[in-house]
Amino acid sequence: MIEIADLTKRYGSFTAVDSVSLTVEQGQFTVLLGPSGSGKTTVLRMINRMVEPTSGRVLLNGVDTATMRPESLRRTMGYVIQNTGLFPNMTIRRNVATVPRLLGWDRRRIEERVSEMLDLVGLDPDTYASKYPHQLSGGEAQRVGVARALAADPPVLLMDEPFGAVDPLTRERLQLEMKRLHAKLRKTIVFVTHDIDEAVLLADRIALLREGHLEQYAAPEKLWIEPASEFVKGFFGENLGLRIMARHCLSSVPFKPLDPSVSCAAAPHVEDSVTLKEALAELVGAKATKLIVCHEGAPRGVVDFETLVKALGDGSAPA
Amino acid sequence: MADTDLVRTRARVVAISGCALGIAAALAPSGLLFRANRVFRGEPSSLLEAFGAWGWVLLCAWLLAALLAASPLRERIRGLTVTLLGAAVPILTLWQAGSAATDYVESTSTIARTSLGLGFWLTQFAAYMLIFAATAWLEPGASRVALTYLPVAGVVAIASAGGLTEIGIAREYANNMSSFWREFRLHLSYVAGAVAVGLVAGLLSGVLAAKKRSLEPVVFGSLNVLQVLPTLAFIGLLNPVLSGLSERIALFEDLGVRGVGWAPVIIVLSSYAVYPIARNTHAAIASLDRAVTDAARGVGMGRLRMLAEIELPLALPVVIAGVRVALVQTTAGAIIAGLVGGGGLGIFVFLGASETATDLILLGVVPIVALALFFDRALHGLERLTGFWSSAG
Ligand SMILES: Nc1ncnc2c1ncn2[C@@H]1O[C@H](COP(=O)(O)OP(=O)(O)OP(=O)(O)O)[C@@H](O)[C@H]1O
Ligand SMILES: [Mg+2]
Repeated sequence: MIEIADLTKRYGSFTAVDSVSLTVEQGQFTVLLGPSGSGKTTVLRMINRMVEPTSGRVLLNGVDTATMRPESLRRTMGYVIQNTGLFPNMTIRRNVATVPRLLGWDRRRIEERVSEMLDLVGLDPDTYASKYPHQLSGGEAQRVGVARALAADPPVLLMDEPFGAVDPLTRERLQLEMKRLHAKLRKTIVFVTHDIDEAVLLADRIALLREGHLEQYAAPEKLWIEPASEFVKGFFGENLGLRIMARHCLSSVPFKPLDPSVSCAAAPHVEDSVTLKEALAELVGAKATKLIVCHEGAPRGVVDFETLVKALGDGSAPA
Repeated sequence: MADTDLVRTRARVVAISGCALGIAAALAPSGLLFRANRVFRGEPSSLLEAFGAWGWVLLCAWLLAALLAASPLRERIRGLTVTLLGAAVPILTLWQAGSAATDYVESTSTIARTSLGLGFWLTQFAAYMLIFAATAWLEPGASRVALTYLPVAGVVAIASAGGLTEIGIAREYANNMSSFWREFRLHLSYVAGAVAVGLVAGLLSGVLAAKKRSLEPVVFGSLNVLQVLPTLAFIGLLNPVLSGLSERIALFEDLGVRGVGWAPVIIVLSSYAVYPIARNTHAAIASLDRAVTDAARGVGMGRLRMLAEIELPLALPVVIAGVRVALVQTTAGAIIAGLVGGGGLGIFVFLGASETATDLILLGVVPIVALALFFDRALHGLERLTGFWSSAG
């Protein structure tokens, strides 16, 4: 658990971060979101003490990070940045092995761990371990960056616009993989981005920053239903509802009961594994008023526009 | 891509200029100098005159090389033919100069000397330009390196076959054989010592300046002062300090530290060698990719480990470029030792100058130029090897 209390950073008379307080629970995915220059990177870098706060505290599981050696603190927090920061003079193997090496693991354990990590991020160890960073594509390099950050199994992962420099398609793939990794590993993640779609897709909670202030810190659904200010409302814009629909799976919605004689092939239908947003698109695309929901070809129920919208209505729909 | 295109176009210009220079040098009135004895002024003759029919062959080789360099032939073929012609020039001219010298001695007396004149040396320089330019058209690799050293092999072959014995510089060598190698080794040890000191001091001050921004002006300010101080003035200033030290401290006296001799030479040469190494170390570390150093800090590397594992390895090719400059500069600079009682190849230069024996001067200068060229090439290779991780490699 990371507790940030009254964290402030001043550069001369300029206040980059102004008394920000927020708590990131164990295993929670928190996204720091905000316009350029709003202080996202600065907050993130104060967590691993790459930037020393002017005032305020960061507690890691109740321990004030200011009392720890910065190097030791950083070895317990994976760190991924936009331009990967892979070490060009080292092989992928050695890059991924960095923190285990710093922690003095033995060679066998490191070697096994490197393969495991490359597998985890979807890179074949036999193909990639001996390559050098300049031989990788941007997306591959970014995966190696994530593997390096996870290698010593740190409880916390800090990520600063990790997918900012890759093409939109790869970016989308990496986002989905990140979501899968988080579901699997349950790391505490603090993730910086200025991409609203990315934030809404990934976050358990979003901290929206503006000129160093924390505007609101809440789940995306809550930000939609109860924006704390006009700024919050304006920042997310009209599309937030649709974006939130992309977070939820159709199977989590209470369908209307169905006449058992109806078959899936007969009428406009969707699989229950799609997101609410995809279901809505299907509905509009089929120029229908309702859709039959199927599970592996067997009809399960019926959804219409009302059910889809109501599913978000109380902001409590499970992610 | 555009970069290498430019290099290749420029190579044509360099190659053709080389040929023009070669032709001018072959026609220049002082290609070889025939003297009655070693200090006599001598009778100049152009290479064309001195070589007879082979002189015309030399001219034709230059013309052919120029035509090939300008031709639309495929790059590989153009590179290969022009490089081979370029390599033939030093071999041909040295062989012919050697036989001209032998003929001259046989037709006059054994104390007669044939010296290599300006036209001869310009010819070698022109051939160097031609080979340098033409190898740009060849694929990098072992065969290209081999071609570059072909003339060296040719010269060694002619020399060991005894074809050069009557040339002035070879006569001086024969007369000074034992002292030549002693001074050669001494010269090399000055260079090695100075560059070693320069490397350590240069790395330290370069890293310091890059890491502590406030010290940057101090470091480079003092290195600049050392750099602009004229060599002899510097040695003059050191003289009383060093003699004072050795008078007072027995250890210094035992080591042979005196106001003249090896001590001031090493001090002066090292302080010149520091500058390019410090400059390059500083520039390389200061310009490292911020993302890389940021990531190194972010994963929890300490300052020293970061320096050893990330910063210095990444700076290495640029540091080596600095060492290369220091080596070449020190190889030439060590001549000064000959003037202040330190020995080295400079001895022949200054002795030759006082006796107006040009060939003796050359006995000092030619190995220095050869060493400098060798260091330059060798360190270039090392730069390339250590930069293997850059995308260009
Ligand atoms: N070392 C520094 N010295 C002075 N000002 C700084 C420094 N670092 C950051 N700032 C300022 O602090 C503010 C917040 O910077 P920060 O990097 O945290 O923004 P950000 O939200 O990450 O922006 P972006 O989305 O562009 O990365 C900016 O106005 C920036 O100019
Ligand atoms: Mg930022």
